[in-house]
Amino acid sequence: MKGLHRALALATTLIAFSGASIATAAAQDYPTGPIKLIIPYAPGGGTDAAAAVFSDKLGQILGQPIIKENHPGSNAVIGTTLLAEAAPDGQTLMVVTGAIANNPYLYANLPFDTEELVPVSILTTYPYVLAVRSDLPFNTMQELIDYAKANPGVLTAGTPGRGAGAQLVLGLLNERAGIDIRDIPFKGAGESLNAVAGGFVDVVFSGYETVRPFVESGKMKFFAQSGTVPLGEEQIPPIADTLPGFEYQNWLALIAPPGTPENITDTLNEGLTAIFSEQEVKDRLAGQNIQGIASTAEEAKAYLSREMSTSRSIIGTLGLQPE
Amino acid sequence: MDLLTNLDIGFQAALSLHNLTFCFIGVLVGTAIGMLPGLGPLATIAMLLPLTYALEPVSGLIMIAGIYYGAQYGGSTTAILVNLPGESSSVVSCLDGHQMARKGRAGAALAIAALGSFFAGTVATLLIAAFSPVLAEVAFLFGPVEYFAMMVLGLTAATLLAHGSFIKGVAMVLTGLILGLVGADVNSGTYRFTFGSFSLTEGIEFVAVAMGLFAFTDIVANIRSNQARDVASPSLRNLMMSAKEFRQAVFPVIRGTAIGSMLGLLPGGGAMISSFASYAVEKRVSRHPEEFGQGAVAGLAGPEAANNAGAQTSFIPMLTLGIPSNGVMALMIGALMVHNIAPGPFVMVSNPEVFWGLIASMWIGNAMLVVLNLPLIPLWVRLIQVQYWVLFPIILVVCCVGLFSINNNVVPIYFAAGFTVLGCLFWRMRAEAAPLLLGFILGPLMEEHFRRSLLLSRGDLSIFWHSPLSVAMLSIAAAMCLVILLPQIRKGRKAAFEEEA
Repeated sequence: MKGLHRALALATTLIAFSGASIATAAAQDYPTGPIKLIIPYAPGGGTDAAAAVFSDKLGQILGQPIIKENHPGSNAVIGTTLLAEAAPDGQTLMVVTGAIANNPYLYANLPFDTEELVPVSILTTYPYVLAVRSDLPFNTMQELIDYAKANPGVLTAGTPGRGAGAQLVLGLLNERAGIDIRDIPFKGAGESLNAVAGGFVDVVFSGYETVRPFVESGKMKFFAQSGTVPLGEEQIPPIADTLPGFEYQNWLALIAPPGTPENITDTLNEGLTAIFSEQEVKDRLAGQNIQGIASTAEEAKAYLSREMSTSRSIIGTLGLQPE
Repeated sequence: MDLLTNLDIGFQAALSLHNLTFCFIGVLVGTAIGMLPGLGPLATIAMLLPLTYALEPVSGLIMIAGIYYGAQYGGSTTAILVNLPGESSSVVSCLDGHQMARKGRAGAALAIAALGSFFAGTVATLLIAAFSPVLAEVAFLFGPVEYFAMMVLGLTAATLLAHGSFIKGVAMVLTGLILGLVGADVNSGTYRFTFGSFSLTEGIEFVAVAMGLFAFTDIVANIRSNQARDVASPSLRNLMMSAKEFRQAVFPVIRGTAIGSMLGLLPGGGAMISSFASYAVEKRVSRHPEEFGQGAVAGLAGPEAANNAGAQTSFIPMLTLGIPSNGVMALMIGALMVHNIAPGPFVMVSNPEVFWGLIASMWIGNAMLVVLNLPLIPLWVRLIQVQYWVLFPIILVVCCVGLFSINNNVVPIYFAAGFTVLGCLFWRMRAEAAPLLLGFILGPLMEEHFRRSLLLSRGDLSIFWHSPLSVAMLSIAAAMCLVILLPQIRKGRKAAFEEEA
């Protein structure tokens, strides 16, 4: 059945893309037809995988299929633009990462106002793990900070490029610890990880699952992460143990177009709450060390604006200007 | 013998009827999407991925792998027959493969591609089985400095690769470099040449450039030349390759396999770079370099073997270290994780049937591709005899659907149209489009690695001669320039003297 869904999704995408606005009926009938779920990243990425956890189940609860469409590009700006232009009838939704909170401070001419988008729910949060080349002479966060202070500007960090979460968490660490780990931008997280494994760069911030194979093969070690509680089987301690109050989470949110009425976001949230309380879903997310959250629309809105102000201050200290 | 027991486990897993079926489905789907331009293996596998959740892990992986190398295979069929590179790695197959087809040797060209790929696939599979853990380390020898040196070598080779005027070759590479600059700069994120448009921030779509310059330009050029088709119609006798062609193909295939096996280990487009590299090498060592671009057997056989070997060995970093060297490998890691198998050095120990089963299936899949494709050659060859008024609209429609499906967006179609105009201009000027494409791909990578190296060294250029690998590659590039340029300079001088006299 799943295969059939994908085939249908492709067929619909190919054939009916231009004239796809089906729903004009009143909101109480929601949903009136298949729901289009915009993924503003290339197919096969982490967001796709996380969206797969809930989209089929949500579709069953709502009685309408949810069809994924990938619109990658420009740090999710291209997908978000499409969402902002869609009708506020809940027939078009988007799953996006924390990038959406950074973009207003990275791009000068965004074709939409981030504040006007309607966050439906925060879906997941997970911290960044700090992985270090295994032959470096430190094994705790405090030792790393001491080393960086004794050898200013010597350590380098691979980041996935301008405005990525991993770059922001590095900026936050440099600022809080009063150190200068130099930022070497790469194209995506994979390249930055390979550069650390090859010994060309010293440290990298990345998701737990992406770092783990390198640690197992002995190329890297990890001893800190950006969450608030110990993480994974290894019980990796949070950076906050060394630098009190340090926290930076990556997150995923479900977002609706500007002006989407409350009864629609309520319907969606009810479904999400039911899904995230299922044991199978909990296990699947726990296996990837991801925390599943179904928040209310107000909570999601408050979360987004809090994240936006954090992003603004970090991007300010990094010295990045909107382009 | 550890290797034999391991292979035994592998073949037991891969030869079950269940897994054979999925292997066959994989290579069949792969061949089909390889022939259709635009719809690449990445998008197809992403669509089929949920299907594998319900399967045994090894069956799912076998199918995905089949799609991946099947696509490399299918890509060459359309490249040879209708000058349409379905995959970026088959751009090179257009150069001589399509010329062979025009001379009535389409059957032979397809057979050479099929058998060359099979040989390369077999050797690469053996390499994976025997040396995976050792070879995986090769990827870690390449940092920004080494990548930069490799790109310089690649671009130098590309300039020499152009037949005809040397100056035109340089001009085309430079044009490619400029086109490649469009989009966000990796280091600073600054937008270059985007003219305020968000559709240009990710750069110009490669598939659109390739289709415009190759397939669409070819269509316009054919229509312009009086509707008369200069393709010799293949008779049945022509379907088989001659003994002479076989002999001409043997060494290029072996060299191509070696080049592809090494470059495939490197993250980021190893298979494609390897086909360009092999072409350049074949042209250098050939006793008849003037035949290249006119249907030289070596110019098809080498690159075909190289891109298939590269596609196979790119599995090594993923299987042994859990590191994806390209998008397809990243999806395979995703497929493993769904089954709670953590990709990494322990898969070999914890799930030997997955690891060795996949390797054994690669060889079986390659054999299936040959069995599937050789009997179909007479059918494919008929394709080039189809009337223009039937064939061209079909190609155009399929290409446009493919272009649209890249990003669910019509912009790439407009770009392909624009590049068709440009391609026709180049065609009138007798300038080769292949060096442009290589400049377009390698230029931005070269800049990126160059600036990253300097970021690491804080602007100290000496970083480039601290790495032996980098020194070696830069020296080869310099030597190649000398070999090519010296005779030209001498000739130029002689001409100048003669004029004076």
